[in-house]
Amino acid sequence: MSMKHYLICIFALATLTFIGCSSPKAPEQFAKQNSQPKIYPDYIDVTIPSNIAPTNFMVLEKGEEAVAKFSYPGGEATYGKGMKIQVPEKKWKEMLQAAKGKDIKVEVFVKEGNGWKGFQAFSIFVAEEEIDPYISYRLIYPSYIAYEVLSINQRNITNFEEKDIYNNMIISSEENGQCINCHSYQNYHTTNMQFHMRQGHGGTMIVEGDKLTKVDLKSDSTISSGVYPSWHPTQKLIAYSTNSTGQSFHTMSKAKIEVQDSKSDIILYDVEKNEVTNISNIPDEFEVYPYWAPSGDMLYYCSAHFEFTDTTGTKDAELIRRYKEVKYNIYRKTFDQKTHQFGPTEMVYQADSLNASATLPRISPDGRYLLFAQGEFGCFHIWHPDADLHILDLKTGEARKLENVNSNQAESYHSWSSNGRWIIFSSRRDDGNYTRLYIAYFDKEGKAHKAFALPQKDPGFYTYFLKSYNIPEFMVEPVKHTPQEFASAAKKDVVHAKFNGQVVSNEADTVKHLVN
Amino acid sequence: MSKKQKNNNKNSNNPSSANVTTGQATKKNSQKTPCDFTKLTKALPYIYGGCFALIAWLILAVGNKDYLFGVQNHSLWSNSGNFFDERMAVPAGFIHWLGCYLTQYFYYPAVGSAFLVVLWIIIFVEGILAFRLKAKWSLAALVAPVLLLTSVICLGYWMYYIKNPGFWFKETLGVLIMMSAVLAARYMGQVCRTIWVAVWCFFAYPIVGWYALLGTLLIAILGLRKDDNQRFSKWTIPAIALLALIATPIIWYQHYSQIRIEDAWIAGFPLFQSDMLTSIYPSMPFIILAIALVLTACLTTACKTSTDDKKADKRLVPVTFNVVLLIAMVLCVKYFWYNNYNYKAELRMAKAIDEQRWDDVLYEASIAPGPPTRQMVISKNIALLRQHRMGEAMFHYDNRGEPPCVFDSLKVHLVQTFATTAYYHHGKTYFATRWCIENGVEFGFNVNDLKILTKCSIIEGEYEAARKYIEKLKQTTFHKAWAEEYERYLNNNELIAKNEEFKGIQPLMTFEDLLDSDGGLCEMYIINYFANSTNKDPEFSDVILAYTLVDKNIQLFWPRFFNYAMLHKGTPMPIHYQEAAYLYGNLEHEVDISGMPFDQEKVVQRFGAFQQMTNQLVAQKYTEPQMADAMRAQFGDTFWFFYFLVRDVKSY
Repeated sequence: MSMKHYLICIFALATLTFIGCSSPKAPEQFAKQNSQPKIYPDYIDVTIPSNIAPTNFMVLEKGEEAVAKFSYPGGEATYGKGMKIQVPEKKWKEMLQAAKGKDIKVEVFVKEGNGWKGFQAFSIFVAEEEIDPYISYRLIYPSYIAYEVLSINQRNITNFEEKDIYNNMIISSEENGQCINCHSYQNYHTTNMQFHMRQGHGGTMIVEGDKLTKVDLKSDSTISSGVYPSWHPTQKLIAYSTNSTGQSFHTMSKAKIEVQDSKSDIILYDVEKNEVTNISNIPDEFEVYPYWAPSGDMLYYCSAHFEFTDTTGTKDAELIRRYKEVKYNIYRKTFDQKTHQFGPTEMVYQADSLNASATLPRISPDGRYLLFAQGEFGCFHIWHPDADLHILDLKTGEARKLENVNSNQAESYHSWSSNGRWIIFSSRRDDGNYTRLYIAYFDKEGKAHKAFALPQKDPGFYTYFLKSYNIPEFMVEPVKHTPQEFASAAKKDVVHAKFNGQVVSNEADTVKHLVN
Repeated sequence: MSKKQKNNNKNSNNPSSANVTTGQATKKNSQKTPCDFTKLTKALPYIYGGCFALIAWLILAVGNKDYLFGVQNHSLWSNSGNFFDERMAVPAGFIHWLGCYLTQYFYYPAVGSAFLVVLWIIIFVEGILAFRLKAKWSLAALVAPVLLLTSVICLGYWMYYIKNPGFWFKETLGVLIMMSAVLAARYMGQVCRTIWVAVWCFFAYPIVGWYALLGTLLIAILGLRKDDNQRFSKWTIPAIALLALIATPIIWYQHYSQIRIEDAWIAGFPLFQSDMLTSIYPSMPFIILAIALVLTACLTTACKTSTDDKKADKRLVPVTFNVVLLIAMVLCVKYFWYNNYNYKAELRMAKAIDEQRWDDVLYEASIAPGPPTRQMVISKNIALLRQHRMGEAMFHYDNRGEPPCVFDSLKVHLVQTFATTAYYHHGKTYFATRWCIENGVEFGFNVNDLKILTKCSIIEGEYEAARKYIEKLKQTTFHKAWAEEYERYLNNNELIAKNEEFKGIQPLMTFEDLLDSDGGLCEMYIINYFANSTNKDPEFSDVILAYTLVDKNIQLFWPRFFNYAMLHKGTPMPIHYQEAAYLYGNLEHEVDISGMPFDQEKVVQRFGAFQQMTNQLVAQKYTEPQMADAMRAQFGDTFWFFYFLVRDVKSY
């Protein structure tokens, strides 16, 4: 190859590099539109944390090319490739830092034919408060019964890095398939955490620092091993529900699946003693979804009163027939952190009186607010299109549907960030079938702001990704153990928890109503 | 020719040790043998390659075109980065990904087949060169392509159950890349080869999985050849190879979170597992392939190491060897080829259903040479349902239905092969959706299911969900146009109302929601569901009555019969419904049928003849199967024959 050819190649390469790296320019002449652009995911007028990954989006307007001009205190930048707006992470961080407590103004221009259209600008408000840098969730196909690849993943939400915490395929085989679920951390830290493995190499993986132990919490006296967990915020105690769960399928409903418990109780697992005790196992009550108050002196949970009346058929069959009658209320019990004794049951939110069912109580880190999912019936609201997030002010007793965050599809599986300023939840709002994670700012006045989708590098990602996100949990640090370490621990013999028949609460006490 | 090669040829005492097979026969050799024979010998690789290419292409493109079309329909490739990342999350991910891409070309079976054949011919040539096979031994290099051919055509119903995306090209790509590495090693000196064996093993593992390990083994064996320039012990390469074989999977295991440590050494090996059973049968070609390649490497190394190569030639006797090998290869292809008539007919019928060629579906049902499978029977019913002719013609076809023929432990269930289509066409779109998802979760999403999910979502009014499946289909190479066509239906009720397929299904969706499950038995559910339903829609009532006949339930029949008659006033009562009414009226006398206007010739007189023949055969002490055989020709198209003589049909 001659020198001339070399020079041509170098020039071409340099030109391509320049074109590839340079930012597009916003058009100087364009036809003004009277509306804001349609974009996906919807980041119009949202409030975001100052450390979140770029909120990349697609412009859904008719056209061949789109650019977005971001104006922030002290600068502006324009990005766009095709109809996608993707901001480099470094530049985005600069923007966020500059705009902390202020707005980023976004103007979108779309080229159609030979002309450009300019849409009304929208704002992205950058909150002062940061968000916990990590979240974890389970990725699962919106499956009915079958499962194959399941993973619990952690995502650094300040960028786009996602990793497996654990993937069942590291241990599953055809004969010994493994289901994994319900990850939980102690007070947002991953030093003490747990998740469940079912079927092959089954057990609950308990992490205490460097120690990984697989325990079996099932005893002859309990319905099942531990299911829905909640770590005590300071002590090595985990409250679980024990459930007998079944699934049925709708023949003509957008809900598609009905997940029901035919019985459920609540237990306490003392990690250090490796001992299980009952918290609540009242007949005709389906107790579920325990959750510790951040102070550690109160345990919230849900319970539905249901009496089986059909003596001829099975309980499951009756429950399938009467599934709309199962309605959960929210209760709580005081907890003595020294004696590990629970106090009497106290009604916190009586949903059934409103012909509704309330589930998944989650207390804000400051202890003031109770966030929960409410639908018409049942315990598994993530399949109920009418399910919405509600909030109860524990100080005033006022309960309301949470403004700005709900949709006409299911919202459920919500969590608070460690500073209480952000909530994350699963929602099927995008298409009715696949849950996506949404984040909303919760301000000091107790008001939620417009929720936005967890940002992805490819803004089109959610349009073709066929897995659902469930059980999002905030973490202040990543999980320190590798999937291989979990796999190694899972292959070891399970440690059976001791069952202490003692009931650690006084069920005879009268139920007191906090809120009617 | 490289300096190294020249040295090799110079150093070699055997004139045909290298490159002979590419047509460069040495002068020494040609001087010794008659001219024609030498030419023929030199031409052998071309003859073998040419004949194999032609035969393999014919077997694939002609003998397996329905199957190959079905393969691409039950596979998926997507141009998204996420699809690539998901494939690369396991060892051999790259050939998985590329295999998925190339499998798409079976959309045109002749084109996909041609691609495969070209790759096999490259493997054949690589085999000759890598193992330095003389022309007369070159048939041995065809063993790998022949085994790859058998692996493609032996699957049968495993097509639905395979958890190995892109399998149909993936293994060929694995062998191709592996043989390229082995071939490359041939042209390297000992030092380079020593480095190469370790580098190849480590870096090829994520790309080709177990083929990296097999290739390492082959390089190690071939490295023992005597003719190499040896700077250090000939055992150096095998020692490093052994180390690489042990260490590579262990090291990579730390990187992958989706592979078991015990599977790390067979990562990417095509295992066939379903219903907690592992079938060795479809994996056999690869086991034989691995053994054959190792043997070839050992033999060629041993022959080269032998002081008198000619002795080896005499001992092995090329003609006998070639004849035996040829017969073995032919028998292998014949033995492994899953050439079942019903299986292919099912695939042809499924394609015709997709394309709404109802007459073609019925034609397939009518020409089946033996008892059909239940899938064929359901396909036939779907075609008649769409033509509103169930009551007129559903018993004109063989309704027996056999379980699919399988060679191994595979248990075929309709919910995994055809339920999605069956439910969709019966208006049970939520169940169709369910099984699309269930199967997608377990075996991977495929084009066929994504199309059904799209149509179900559109017909249910879940346009955003439909958009997702459409988006996925738009990322394929050959189904983009289909996706764009259906994209027009989103939020377009007018267009939906005009669609012929949707028009036929919508009336069957007029039922109330309840919690239900099919227990994994799709056909039984459909029969029971419709037979036990009541509905005032004329089309729905037709399907109800048809399945009441299949259910052979007299109590259910009468109310549904009268409901149908009321909803179809002024139209002739279909013949099978008349047959059923006439039979049940005469059997139980619970309903007075004396005033009903039965077709005298087709029903009344024919039933008399049916009774007469039955009595005669009973008198002659015919068993039930014998009676069925004797009466099929004359009465096989009646409900009465079905009612009395088609029994013990087992769905699956």
